[in-house]
Amino acid sequence: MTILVGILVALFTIGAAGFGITALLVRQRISVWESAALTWFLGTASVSLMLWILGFVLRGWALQIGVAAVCVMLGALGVTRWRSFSGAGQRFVFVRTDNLLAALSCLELLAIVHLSFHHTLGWDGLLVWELKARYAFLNGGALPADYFQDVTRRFSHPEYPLFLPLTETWFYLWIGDFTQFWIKLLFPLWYAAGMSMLWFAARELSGNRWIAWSLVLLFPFIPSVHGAPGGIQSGYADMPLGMIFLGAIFYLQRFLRAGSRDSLMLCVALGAILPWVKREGAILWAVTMLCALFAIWNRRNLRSALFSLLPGIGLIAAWKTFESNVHVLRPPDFLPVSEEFFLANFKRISGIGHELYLELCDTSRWNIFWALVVLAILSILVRERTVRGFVLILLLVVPLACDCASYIFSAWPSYIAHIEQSLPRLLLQLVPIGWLLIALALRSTPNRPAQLAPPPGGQSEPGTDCN
Amino acid sequence: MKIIRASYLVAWTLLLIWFAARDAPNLFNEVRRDSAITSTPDASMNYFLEALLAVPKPVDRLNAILEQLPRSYRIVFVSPKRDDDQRDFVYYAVCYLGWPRKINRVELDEHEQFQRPDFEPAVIMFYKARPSIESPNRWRIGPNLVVIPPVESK
Repeated sequence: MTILVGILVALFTIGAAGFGITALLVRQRISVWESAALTWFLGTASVSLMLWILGFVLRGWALQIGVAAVCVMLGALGVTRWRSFSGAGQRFVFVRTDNLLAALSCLELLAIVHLSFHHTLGWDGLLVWELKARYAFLNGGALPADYFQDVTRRFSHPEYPLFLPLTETWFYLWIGDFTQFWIKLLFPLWYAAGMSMLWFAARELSGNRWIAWSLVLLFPFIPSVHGAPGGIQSGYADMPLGMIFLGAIFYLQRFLRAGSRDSLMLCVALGAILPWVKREGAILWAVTMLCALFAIWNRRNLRSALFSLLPGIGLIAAWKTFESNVHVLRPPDFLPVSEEFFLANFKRISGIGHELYLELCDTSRWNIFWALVVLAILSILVRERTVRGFVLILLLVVPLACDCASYIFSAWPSYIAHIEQSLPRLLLQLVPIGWLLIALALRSTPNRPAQLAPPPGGQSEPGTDCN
Repeated sequence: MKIIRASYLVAWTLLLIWFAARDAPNLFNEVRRDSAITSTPDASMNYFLEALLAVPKPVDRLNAILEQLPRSYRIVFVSPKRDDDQRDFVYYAVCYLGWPRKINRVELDEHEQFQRPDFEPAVIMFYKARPSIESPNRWRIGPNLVVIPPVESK
């Protein structure tokens, strides 16, 4: 009973903070399911950030009450602002078939919850992420400074950002104990939020709600998503990162299409969270914001474009400053990035490419998903040939290329072993964008390039209709 | 043109049906599979350690031992030098549970014997290595892990 109450309070505070921030970022109402997904993404990010920042000065109950108070204040602000919006915002209207498909999606979500509670946390889920949550809980909500310099715990990657561990700590603080069982409830919630985003994004890209439902229902049919390290059930950060990346891309796509301020704000906010989830998130943020930068510059001005980079840069700079101040141990997996190492290891490129090919072709892990994505890319290049099509392809290919290039600097005795160990998880982060490419390829009437960038104010926010 | 467009969509539909059909049995079996863990706070860690240490509730046993040892005591984890994920996991698990103690690690060659370290007091954990230190007090957690407390605590 105590556990249930603790979980509910933790969920309520995250919900309050997330809803408050969502309402503060937008100027008109958005549909319930979209705001629920944003509430979860922005709520978990804000609570973990608050725990980190307030944790420098507060501990224990003071920290817990302090963060909860800010969450409730944000929630109250959000409700007040939400009420001030005109009622003519977006409404999600269910048609009859939607009820059936929504019921199927709920069944799938229940299966994911069931899977999550039936599997153990994976190696990294336990020894990299949950370990930090446990230590932070034992230390009153903030990770002790000693931990970051502890050579004997270097295996737990103290240099990784604290989005996931501190979100877990927030639940531990309210439950009153650490629990490797109940904490697994969090991961299906990221899945549910991601599926909500996927539905909206797929519907807008494909122009068809049937396709959107199909892709949402097909999402878990990848073995890596439901039964491999890094999957939803294993407690890793890769799936939450992929889902938040999906959200950032969705709003980038909306901004490219309609140029609305709300979409831009949400894209910038979700993008800024990415480096806080995992180190690879910095690559995803950089690619997303690079695409956004040109679009903003084109539609508005350079100042707005540069301003949109500030939240992400601020977060990365804050974490780097923290790292240098607490003397975080450098990761043992990679050599320093230098011309010398690059030239010395450049010959690895062929091996890396080969391993990538083998991984993408591994149907026991990926089903035929990557083959479908390749088909979708070819189809987009032939049929679509629009800016947003190219942007979507870039958002898949560039992070993948960067991830692969990082193995040039692998410090493992066998860089092939390093690739085999980590590449599947990096690919998991890109699965949602793969589905978006499929959604765009399934569009029955391809866009013409001229349709892509209407003048500012020339088109209403897409998605207001739910046909 | 309409026929080409319709064929294109039919081809995608068939591909997506094939995609779902290929993994549906796996997903169904995963869901049907018996639970691997119990609803205890250390459910995942117990699951892995039970297999590696061959005892029930190994986390409780390790915690019970660690509680008897002052936090100022260092712990040395001794194991054979071998590229072995299982050995790594047990070491990491001891680190996980042993916070805030520093857990040093010593890896022995095949005929090498562990010598008690200069720094004292130190708790020595032998994992899959023959204990080379005589001590009347020793705790055993399953057949693979022996914990020897420092001389002072006799």
